[in-house]
Amino acid sequence: MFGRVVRNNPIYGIARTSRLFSTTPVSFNNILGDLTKPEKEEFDPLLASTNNSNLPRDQITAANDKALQEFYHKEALENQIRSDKYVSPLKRRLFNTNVATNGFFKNEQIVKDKESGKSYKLSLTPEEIDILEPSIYLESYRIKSSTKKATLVNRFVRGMPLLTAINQLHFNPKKMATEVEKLLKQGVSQATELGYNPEGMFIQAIWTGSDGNWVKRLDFKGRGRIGLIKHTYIHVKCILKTEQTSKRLAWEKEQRELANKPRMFLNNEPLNFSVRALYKW
Amino acid sequence: MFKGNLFNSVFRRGVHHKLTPKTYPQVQSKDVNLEHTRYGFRKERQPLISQGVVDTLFPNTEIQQKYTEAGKPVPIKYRTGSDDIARRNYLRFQEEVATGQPHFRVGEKKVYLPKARVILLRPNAKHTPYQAKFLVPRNFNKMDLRDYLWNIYGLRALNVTVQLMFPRWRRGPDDYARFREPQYKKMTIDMEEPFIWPDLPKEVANRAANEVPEMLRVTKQNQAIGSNVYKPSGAYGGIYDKPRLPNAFVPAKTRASRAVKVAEIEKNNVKVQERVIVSEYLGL
Repeated sequence: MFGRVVRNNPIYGIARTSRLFSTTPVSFNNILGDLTKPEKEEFDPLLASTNNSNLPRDQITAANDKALQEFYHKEALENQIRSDKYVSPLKRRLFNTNVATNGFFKNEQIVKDKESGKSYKLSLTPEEIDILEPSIYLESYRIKSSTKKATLVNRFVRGMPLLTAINQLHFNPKKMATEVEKLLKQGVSQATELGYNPEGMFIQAIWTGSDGNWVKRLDFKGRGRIGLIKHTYIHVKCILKTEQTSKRLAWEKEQRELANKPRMFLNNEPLNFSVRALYKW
Repeated sequence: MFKGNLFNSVFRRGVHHKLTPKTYPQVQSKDVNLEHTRYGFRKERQPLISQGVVDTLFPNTEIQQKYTEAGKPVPIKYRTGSDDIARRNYLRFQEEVATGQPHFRVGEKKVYLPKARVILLRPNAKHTPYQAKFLVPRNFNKMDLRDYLWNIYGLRALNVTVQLMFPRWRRGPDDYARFREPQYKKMTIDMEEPFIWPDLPKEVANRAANEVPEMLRVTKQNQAIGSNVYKPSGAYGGIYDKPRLPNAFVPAKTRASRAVKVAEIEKNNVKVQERVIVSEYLGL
């Protein structure tokens, strides 16, 4: 209607809307084009690489192209999943103070906010704790395997320390072991990037799922019957957590145990117990 | 040795498949040579006298001479005067080359604006530098090309061979039926002087070699499904591979519900700060 087309041409960059400039005015790029400026800036990587004035054109690569990398970094920051996007700044500050004093997060403690000088009793929901504690979310690419095969390997490494898991998987002959190992190695590099110590990390959760678009074809059988052969594709996803989490979990367990009533091995009921008509042994 | 009636033993087999013991071929096992020689039993013949003459322009004379020397009758096919004709033609050709005359009977059809598309092709491995290959219109014949090259470039085609390519069957992506690709005609000529194609500029050769695989990579990236959407393709030196920063784990539902609230809080914080600045400025 507005003369827009989606181009997949590599010259024009990855699929984006653009107008047929031969037939339509620029303002048709936007529905309110005549009234407003375009909201999102259009970026053509190929054009940007020509703007890099320091280097001769034939020496510009994707890696040394500053404008391109800046643009991509900006986009990556927008898309990155971080705790500061989902928890209020005050809560984050209090959480960090709490962690700084204890080494890990202790819930229901009184924390003094340095900025305002006020004291708060910080009580976070499990959901908030999950968000605030450092974690790494790993997603594999499309894998030609089945969920059944992947689950076998996933169960093997679930809960293991990160480096132990990589070590174990390296010597596991299964194909999925190699895939998961690759994924976990990504986790190690991401951990160092974020400044977490990979030695303290562990696999908090690892799961698999269908990656969709399974190719199906007919399996012709005898007696006029048919079956369906599915060519399955899956992904593996994984959550890595740091030492902070394992320490907190251990502390919480300890607290629970301390709070438990002492276990009575004898019947603590009054002696005049109700008389039953039946023997209970 | 074979003994017995030939009909009963051999030909009957064609008519009556099932043989009775009576009609079995009478062969003694001791007579059968299982390891008979399979080569070298033919009579070794002396090579023909005519075969001894090679690599000469006018062989007939030499062959005739050799036969007479050996005291044998000259075979009829060497008694012709073809050598004389060949010599005459050869001399005439030398003269024509020397005087710049055409070495063949030039065609008489007048073509003032030739519209034929004659394309010089790069040689295959089988071609010598003394050969050149052209893509020509399909209605061209050998004489046409010879005349064309002579009249336009002054190039002597000493010999012309034709290669009419097979029109390959092709099938479009959405087609039910096949169709035939155009049928190309190529001609190879022999030349007096060698010609070697110059090498392509490095840049052009590289581009030709890399462009298709790079484009394929981009296409693959654009059409990626499922988790492969974020898979880097490496196309054009990784220009389309967007870097991804490490993510923390926040469930999608939580993200949807919390992001709005936090954004609102931060917006309010900004408002408060602005109010402080304004009030300080106004001295309230």
